[in-house]
Amino acid sequence: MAELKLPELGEGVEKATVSYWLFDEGSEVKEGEDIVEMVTDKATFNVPSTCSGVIKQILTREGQVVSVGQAMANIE
Amino acid sequence: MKQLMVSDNCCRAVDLGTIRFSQAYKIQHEALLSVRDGTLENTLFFCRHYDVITIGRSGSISSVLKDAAYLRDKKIELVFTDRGGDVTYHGASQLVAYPVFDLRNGVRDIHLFLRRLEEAVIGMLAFYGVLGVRKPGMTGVWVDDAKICSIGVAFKQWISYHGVSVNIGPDLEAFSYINPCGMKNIRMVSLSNILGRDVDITQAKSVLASEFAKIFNLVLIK
Repeated sequence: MAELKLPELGEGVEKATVSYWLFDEGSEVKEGEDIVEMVTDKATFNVPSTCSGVIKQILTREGQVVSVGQAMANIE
Repeated sequence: MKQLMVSDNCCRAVDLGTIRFSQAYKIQHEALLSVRDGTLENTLFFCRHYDVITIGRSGSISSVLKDAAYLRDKKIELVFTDRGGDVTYHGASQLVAYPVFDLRNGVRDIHLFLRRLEEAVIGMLAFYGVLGVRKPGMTGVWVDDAKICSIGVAFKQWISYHGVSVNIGPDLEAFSYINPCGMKNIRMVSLSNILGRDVDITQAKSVLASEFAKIFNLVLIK
């Protein structure tokens, strides 16, 4: 099982907010496929899956503030 | 000063003329896919929009102060879009720049990218002898306490789209139909207002393109 974590976003950006999930729990995703949109300050960005598999659990909900390095989903 | 390096330092500046927001969005998206696939160099789109109020991911309809019938009567579109930031207005008085820049092999730093966009606009204003400044915590460019440039961007796989809008001409009435950037009592200003004269938007575009090239270390190609 692999954890999807919020990646480094640059100096001074320690948190971002989950805007919306492009997939639901149980969805099959491919490595490199964008699976969640995040928002910080005046920027949105997508986080891609780090592996191919099924999203087993979404750990951070829309509107939730997430820290860099924090786990957001489990993919198996 | 840290230099933001964009992957491959070539950039094509493209003027889309006066165009609907949704059409420009489609063009940016197509360009982004081509930049991602390596079939297009970094592209800096310029345009002016037909009247439109756009709501970014941090915004809500509550920042739009006029109802749908009023906006329809004024022929102002209302669009929810996927950039960061709150509510803003675009119209013929503004110069809009959309950098579709590939940062994958450059510096992947969102805040630095925003700061560099501000810097490009500040450099453009300096050409006209106007002092543009940043306000900590309030992304954009300000002249004294009035806002002259709004910024909202998005990234897909570290390729940027959306961008900046700079108020050039004197008509700012439609900003009174919204709380710009979700803030009440924010004063907007334009380059024409400050200089007390008309400003050639074609010249402003050329100056801004040069500033982008300088700040992002790019060679503009035709």
